[in-house]
Amino acid sequence: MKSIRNQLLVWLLGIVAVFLVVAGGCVFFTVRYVLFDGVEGELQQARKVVYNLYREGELAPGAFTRRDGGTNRRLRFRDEERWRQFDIEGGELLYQLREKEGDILLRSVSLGDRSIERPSDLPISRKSIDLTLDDGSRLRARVDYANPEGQTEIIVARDITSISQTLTLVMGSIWGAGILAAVTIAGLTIVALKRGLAPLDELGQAATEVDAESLSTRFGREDLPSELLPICERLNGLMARLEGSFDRERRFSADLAHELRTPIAELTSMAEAAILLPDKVPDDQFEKMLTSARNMQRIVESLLDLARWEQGTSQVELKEVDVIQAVEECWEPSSQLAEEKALTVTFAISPGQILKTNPSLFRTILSNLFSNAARYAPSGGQVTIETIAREDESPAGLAVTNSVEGIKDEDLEHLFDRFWQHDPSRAEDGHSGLGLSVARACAETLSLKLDASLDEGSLTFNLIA
Amino acid sequence: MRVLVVEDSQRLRETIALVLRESGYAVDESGEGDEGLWKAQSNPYDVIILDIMLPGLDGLTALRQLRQEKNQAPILILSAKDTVEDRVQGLRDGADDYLVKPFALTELLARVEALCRRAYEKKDPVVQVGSLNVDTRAKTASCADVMMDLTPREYAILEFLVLRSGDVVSRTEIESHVYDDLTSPMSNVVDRAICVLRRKLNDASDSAPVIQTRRGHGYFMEAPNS
Repeated sequence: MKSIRNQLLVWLLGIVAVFLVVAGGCVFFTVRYVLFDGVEGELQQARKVVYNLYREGELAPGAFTRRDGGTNRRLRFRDEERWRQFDIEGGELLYQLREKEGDILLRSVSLGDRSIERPSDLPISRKSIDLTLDDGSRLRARVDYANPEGQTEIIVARDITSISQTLTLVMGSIWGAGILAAVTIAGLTIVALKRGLAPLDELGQAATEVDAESLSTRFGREDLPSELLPICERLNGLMARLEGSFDRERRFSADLAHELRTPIAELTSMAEAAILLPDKVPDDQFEKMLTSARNMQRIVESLLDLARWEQGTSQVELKEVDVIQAVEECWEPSSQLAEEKALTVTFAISPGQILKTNPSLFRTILSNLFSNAARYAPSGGQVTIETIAREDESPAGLAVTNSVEGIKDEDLEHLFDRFWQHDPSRAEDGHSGLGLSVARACAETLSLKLDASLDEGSLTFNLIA
Repeated sequence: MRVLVVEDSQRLRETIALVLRESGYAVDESGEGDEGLWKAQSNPYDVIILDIMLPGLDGLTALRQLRQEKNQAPILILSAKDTVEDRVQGLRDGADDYLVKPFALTELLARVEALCRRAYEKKDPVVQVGSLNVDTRAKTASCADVMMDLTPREYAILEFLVLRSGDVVSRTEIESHVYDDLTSPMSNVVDRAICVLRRKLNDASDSAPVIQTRRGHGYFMEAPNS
């Protein structure tokens, strides 16, 4: 499983390790360079000193040591005291003269009875080489030839045992300090990551505790790092939407049960009354029972339609529909109610408007809007059905306006809710409060926009393509 | 017994009223909350059947208002709202009973009878005064085991007198508990019915209890045998 903490830890520790190795390496090589640079310089000088003495025929054990305190003119080199190292037993500077592949001609006092065995393959360029004597002493040496024929070989060396020891010590210190630093940094990194990622852990923990029963919980934004705020806000938004849809479903089930209960109660009590009092029930009892049953049927059918259109699984077939003709046909069922209520009905539809849509769904939308307008307009009120025109006067949609009483702005958002009715009591004519929900679901299936607006006592439904 | 039915579904309201009337109740109907409240305030009902979702004024508000005004009429809520919260709310707001739609008419009748009995502090559905037995379930009366032949209205007056036995019951009280809004009793209609009842009681048995007249106050029957 991928873990941010582990990934960060691996990367951070990797970076720290590289840094420590580079830093340690730098320190080590700097120290080494400083130490050996001095050695090289000294070796260079010593080589000249020994070579000059040899050429003048004065090279011999003790040649570097002044006997009378006066100036030895042969030793007009700097650091005269230093060259005495050749003449002290165990001194740091050494030399050895040897016949080519033969006996040792001369060696410094400091070399004692040891002999320097040079490797057979000398570097071509006259670089220094590192050698180890039989007694374990380490030397840095230059090999030269005393004459052009290469018969006599002069080796001048500097004992670097103590420098090697110093370097080993430095190396050990660097390793020790590096390991200590690595362990400390690793520990601190783990603690820092733990603390830094704690809000993420808390958010995750809070998220695992959410279930269908606790959708009202929101994730706290206090003390949350800015990186997590967008996630938190998204999560809270998601929770709000989930809660809203759960609430809607719950309310819908409750509403459905409620809406069906009254017609069922009507049916059962009328049937029961007919059984209890067969001679006393009114003659139209069966017609009334049929009406109740039809109301139930209408509710169930509307719900099935809604479920079908809201899921969007149905395929819609598109045909050309003459808008005027569709409006006339769909107004027909509402016209009687409009007449009874003495409504003033105005049609203002652009002629010849053809819409490519699904005829059955489009008519369902119109029928629901029209019956809604006729039903909720007060007696003697206005109903207007008109074309909405774009700026270039081409038709953009239809507007259905009716005068209303008692509808407030805050009711607008509930108009399309299933079972919402302005007056919560049920009506006798089988209106269940599903018509506008069905109309909107159909409009969405047809990619049409259906919304409502309220303006000084008139309610307008806009159906826009 | 006089019952008020406040229910906005006309078909349901008419059916309930029909069955109640056939069971001997005087029934008033209303399809709107505010009208129902006005009726409940204006008449002494023995039981009020009240829907919750009503046009005009919702049932719970009407219920709370009646209880605030110290109206003691037993109220049965008849609603499609079926959750525990709804039922608890209804009962806590002052209802005496709660029945969820859809319901059985016989159950509604039984509950209305029970509320009537409770209103007159009677537990036994058969009320006895001397040798007179009034069965409030079967709506029959018998005297010394002889079944009396009574019209529904006569039975209703007798039942009211028996339930209130030991008290003086005024003519107006009888009128308002036995006659509904639609019948306007003439001033002597109660007197005449009492007269017929006295004769029928007398015919049934010599030991039958007597409906006494307290002049200027009303009628009176002996307290029931305990």
